Amino acid sequence: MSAAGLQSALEALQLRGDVVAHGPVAILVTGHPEQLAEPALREAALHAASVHGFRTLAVELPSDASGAHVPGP
Amino acid sequence: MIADQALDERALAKERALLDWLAARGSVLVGFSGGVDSTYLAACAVEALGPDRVLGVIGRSASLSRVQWTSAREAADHIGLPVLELDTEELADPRYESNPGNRCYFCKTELWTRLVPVARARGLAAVVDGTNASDGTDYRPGAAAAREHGVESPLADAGLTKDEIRSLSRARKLPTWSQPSAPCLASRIPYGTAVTPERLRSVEQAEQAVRALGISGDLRVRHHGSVARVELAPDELSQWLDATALARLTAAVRTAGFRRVALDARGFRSGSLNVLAGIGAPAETGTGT
Repeated sequence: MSAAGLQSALEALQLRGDVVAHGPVAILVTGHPEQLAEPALREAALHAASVHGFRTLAVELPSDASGAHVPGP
Repeated sequence: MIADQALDERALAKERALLDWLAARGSVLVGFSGGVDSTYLAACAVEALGPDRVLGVIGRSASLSRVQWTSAREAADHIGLPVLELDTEELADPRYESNPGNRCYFCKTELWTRLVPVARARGLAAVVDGTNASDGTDYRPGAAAAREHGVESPLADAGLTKDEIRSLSRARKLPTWSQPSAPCLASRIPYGTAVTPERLRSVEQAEQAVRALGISGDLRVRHHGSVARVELAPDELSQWLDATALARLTAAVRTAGFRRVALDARGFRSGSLNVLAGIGAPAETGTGT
């Protein structure tokens, strides 16, 4: 599993955030989860996670995110 | 009884075969969870045999959520099913507590070890569960325990699929016809991570908190230590992929003690922890009944 590899793949999809591995789960930490609201893009991101050895991809807000004042992608 | 003209004639024929099978048994004990399958089975049993020759038994433990227990009681009341509640102690079994891939086998062994003697003591001719024909391809180690204890699965034997059971339940106006599947709380804990009352409680509290936000479809809060991974039904997922909405979801799940909360981008999948563990088909064992 490669969090760095997945991060590069997600950036190629214009998806921004920090990828961290949590066992077989890849977590995209981002203040902008709406990036994944589009189903086709979400599928592409899930596929990338699979290619990089993860069983699934999840989205987490940064720990200091209020939902309104978070860094842009 | 069956008013839905759209019902497939094949499904109705299977139901008639099921009613005949139950009538021929004379009396049955139904392992009852209040889920779609066991409620339909119990309703058929009450119709075929009358309530005096049917007993539904609910196995209670920390892996049965309060919501499931309440739902089971309400379903039993709705269909006029006499119910006995028994405490089960699968959590005291270290083979179960260690949470191996065949955890369900040990849970069901505990369940049937307690239920089969009840049937014998009360003179009930058969012990039945709600396994259906759609379960055949899933990874279900609990089914082996049922077989070992002589438990019969008349829904599966009649060839009734999950979809057919939902349709037939709807025709019978059973409150469970559209109910999401509700496997036990232990199914939220990855294999190899011990099943403890504290973890089960965290999962239950987190799911209750998410439900309180108005989410009504399939929902699982998977326990990954400090991380809660939330799975929502695909049709509800997109609206929560929003910073404000996800912040609300996160805050709700944190009330159950999780430090971090991640929303699964794939959404709800039955048996996703089997997938994560690379075990069998992507399926989830239900409350077993």
